[in-house]
Amino acid sequence: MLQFIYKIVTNFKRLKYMKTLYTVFAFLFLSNIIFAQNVEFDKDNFSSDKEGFKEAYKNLKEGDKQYAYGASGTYVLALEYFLLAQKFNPNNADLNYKIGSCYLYSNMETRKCLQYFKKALELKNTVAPDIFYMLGRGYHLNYEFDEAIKYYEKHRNMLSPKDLELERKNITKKIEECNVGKQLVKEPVRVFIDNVGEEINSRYPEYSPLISADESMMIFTSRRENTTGGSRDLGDQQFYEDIYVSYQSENGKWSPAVNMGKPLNSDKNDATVGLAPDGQQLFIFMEGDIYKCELKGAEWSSPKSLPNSINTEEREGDASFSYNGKTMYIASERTDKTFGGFDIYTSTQSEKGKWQDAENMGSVINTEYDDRSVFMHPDGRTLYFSSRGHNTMGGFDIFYTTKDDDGFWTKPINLGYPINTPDDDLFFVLSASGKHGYYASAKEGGVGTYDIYMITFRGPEKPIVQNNEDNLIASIANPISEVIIEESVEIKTMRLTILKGTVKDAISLNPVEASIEIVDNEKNEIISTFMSNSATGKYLVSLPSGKNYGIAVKADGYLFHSENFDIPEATNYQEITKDILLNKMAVGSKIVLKNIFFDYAKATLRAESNAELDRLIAVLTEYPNIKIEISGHTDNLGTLQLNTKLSESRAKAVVDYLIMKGVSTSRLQYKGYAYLEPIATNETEEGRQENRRVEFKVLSN
Amino acid sequence: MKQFILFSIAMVFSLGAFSQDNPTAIQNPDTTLVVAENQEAELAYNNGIASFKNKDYKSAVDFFNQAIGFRPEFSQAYFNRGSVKMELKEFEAAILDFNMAIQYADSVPNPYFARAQANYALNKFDEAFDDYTLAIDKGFKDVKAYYYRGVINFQRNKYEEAIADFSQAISIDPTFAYAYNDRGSAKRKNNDIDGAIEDYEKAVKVDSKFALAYNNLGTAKRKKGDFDGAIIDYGMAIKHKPDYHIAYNNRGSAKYDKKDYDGALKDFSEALKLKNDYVYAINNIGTVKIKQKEYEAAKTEFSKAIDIDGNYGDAYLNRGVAKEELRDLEGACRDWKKADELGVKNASIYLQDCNEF
Repeated sequence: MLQFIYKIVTNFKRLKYMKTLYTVFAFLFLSNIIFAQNVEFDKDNFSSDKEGFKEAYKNLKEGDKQYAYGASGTYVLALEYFLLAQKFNPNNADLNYKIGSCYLYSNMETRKCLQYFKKALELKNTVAPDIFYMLGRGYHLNYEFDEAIKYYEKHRNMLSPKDLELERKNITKKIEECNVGKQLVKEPVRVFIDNVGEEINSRYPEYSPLISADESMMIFTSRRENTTGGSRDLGDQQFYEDIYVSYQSENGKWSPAVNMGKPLNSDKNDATVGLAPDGQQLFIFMEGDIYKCELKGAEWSSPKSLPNSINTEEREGDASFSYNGKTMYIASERTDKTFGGFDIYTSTQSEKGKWQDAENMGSVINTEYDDRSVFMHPDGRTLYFSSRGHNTMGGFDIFYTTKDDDGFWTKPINLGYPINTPDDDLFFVLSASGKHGYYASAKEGGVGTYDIYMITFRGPEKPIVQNNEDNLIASIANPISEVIIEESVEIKTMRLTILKGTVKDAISLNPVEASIEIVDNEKNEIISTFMSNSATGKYLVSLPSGKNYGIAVKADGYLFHSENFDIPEATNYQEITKDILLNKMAVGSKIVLKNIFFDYAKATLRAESNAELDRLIAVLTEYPNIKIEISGHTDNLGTLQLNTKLSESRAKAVVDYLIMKGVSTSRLQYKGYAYLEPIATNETEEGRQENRRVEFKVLSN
Repeated sequence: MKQFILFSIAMVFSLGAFSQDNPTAIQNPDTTLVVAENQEAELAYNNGIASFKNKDYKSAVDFFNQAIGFRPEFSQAYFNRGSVKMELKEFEAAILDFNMAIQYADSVPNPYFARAQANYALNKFDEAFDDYTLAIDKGFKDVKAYYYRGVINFQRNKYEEAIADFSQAISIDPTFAYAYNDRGSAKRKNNDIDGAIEDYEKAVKVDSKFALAYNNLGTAKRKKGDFDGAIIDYGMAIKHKPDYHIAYNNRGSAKYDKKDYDGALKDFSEALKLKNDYVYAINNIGTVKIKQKEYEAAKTEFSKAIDIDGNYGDAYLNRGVAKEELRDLEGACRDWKKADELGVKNASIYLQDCNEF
């Protein structure tokens, strides 16, 4: 079993072409600038610390002894001595090279090799003919694939045609592994990988975990110090393999691993290879063959070798079973019907329970390189295995293949980074839930060389959600400012007419400050009352056009003056000038009552007359002693008799109104003059209208 | 009537006082114009409009009230009073006034349009839709009846009808940028991204400073995978509207799409500066942090967003992802459960990993 793992120790270290290469190197690097000085382990170089040198030299030699043995176990031992010597003299190219090699071949912290190979080259560019190859390995293991390719190619370019022939295939494969690595690292698979912890893993190799279906138990192989017999394998100088068990508590913690003891473990190698689906049969590797142990109550039976249909002269390892236990998958190094190295074989159980001859699973799965550590998924159609061939990114990688509907296995697929690494990754098993896988890996971060890790499969990536928004509808984001309002209506307007003039004393023509009252005759309403200017007698008023107005002008000591006038409709501005002469209150003074209106050819007073009549009453009230005559006048149309009668009855109507309003009869006289006292011509309508009038005359004061 | 008299007297006095000593001083014949009789309603109405234009809405309402008092069938006065109420956001009252305006003048289109606006403001989309249609039928001249009806169609997910209305609006007024933009959005909703791009481009051609349309153009291009084009368009949106946090957020996402995470972070942060409670930007910063594998920082961002909006489902979903990365599956499952409760798509799928919790 153990040999499978440690086969990766390369043979290049002992290549015969070494010496020839040295000369080539010497020539090539002669002109190179050497940055650091190589310090040989020569006592002359350490004359100041002879004791220290002695000790260091001793360590160097002890290390060399182990190193010369060339087994993975002895590299670990050599490393311990070398590191002590290195502490004393860190600048020895050969020592740096050897330490790098120890790291690389011991499977312990392999990635550390790079720093020592770099230093070795820096100290002495002829340190080893394969230094570029070793640097390629170092970069390869450190995921620096481009650098690795560079050094692999450098190494290839240095080779003689003969050596190239020997090495070409290997170098080409390494470069291809780097290219695969670049690709896989770029697209990591979604897993968490956890070291199962120090209860299980030690500084020695642990591998080949077998898991009970419910993950409550793990049986695995370890090569720790307390293995049965406690001695080392003669081949690789590591402790013999033994089988250990650990149990997982509900909180996920594993119990400290316990050596399963006899009869499973012997003084030699005893390694786990498979567990039947029901957990009742354990298959182990002993002396190159597969043995079966059965669980009887709490005890495991003594191991029994599987029949010759399974085991051969060559080594067999690994065993996995179909869910019904009727098909077995094993790895074998048998020499017939092989594609090279370990191949995977399958055997079925006959009806009588006999295992048939194992058959090679074919070229889709098996390669010329090692293909092994097989695990059959309970679904019966997914097979996991590890291979150094196919598209590995370095060392063993884990692959899976599925059986298609026609019973053919599909091209194996690399399980991907970070499950697989440029180093060895193998012994993959899957829990029944499918959530967890367990495997052994030499990956960094372990507690020793090979450690057992648990993979948590996270399923497809869970996309994260970004949130964005847009203003899809413009008017919602930026409402259109919209004021809809009906427009103003047109207001019908009239033009104002300016009425202006002066109020003066009729005799002296001196300006009189008089009160002016404007009456809308139609509505019988006073529109405006204002005064004329005392100094100038001027007045001015604006009046809407198209109406008939009465104007009454009163001043103390004067008889009031009334006018009746129309302001015609006008679209343009107009001014009307009306100068008014006021008569003093004196016997014989008379005024025309222009705002007294009668129905046509009748003596019926119309309501529009009231304002004028009220003014008349006001005068009589103000001057209680005056007596007056109200006279009626007509135009000359019609007979004198009729006109006399009409003018008299109109005068009487006024007097009657005054009497009705409380004016004493004794103060009033009336008379009809017909057309005998015209004040204007009777030849025109305007003149005749002037003549149709009622007058007021002061008879006595 | 009294109004008229007072008004007339005021005229008379003012003129008299002005020029009594010097009657010839009257130069402006217009000052001699006076209101004819029986126009109290009209006068009040016009005063109402004047007040309205001065934004003195209270006086405007008073005047329109007077106008209606004088003339209860005064349709325009109802209409205008309704318009004042629209300005005052008293939409229900406005609708009552528009109803009256329609009652007294049912062939006039404006009140239908205005009532549509009021109904729309009250989210009464069916009524608004019918009113816009009536306004159109009654001969409403403005493109906006078509436009707004298109908007309602859009909001009702009737994109074909919306496109037809926006097209009508465009045929009436080919310079109406909003209609191009919105038609583009309707096409986008109809998965016609090319058509959308075409319309958004027309919108910005008609109005070269139309930030919103640039933003939409960017998003349409982003949907087509044209991230560089999108980034340019978002940039234009930002240029013409420097406080456009939405465009910053979107440009950030376009950069995120391009895996320019630093650039994305810058834009999201800018959006956040402009609107400090902009949870989308906070969430998106979190998504960048996830891409940069800074899961703790991502979790912090999502938590910030959740603190602002406790019902922000996507942020829960995302925080769950961050927690899962941080190996806190229990916490992740709690978040996914919450996201699922909040109706986030995919949350239930994520929860399939959560059997034990």
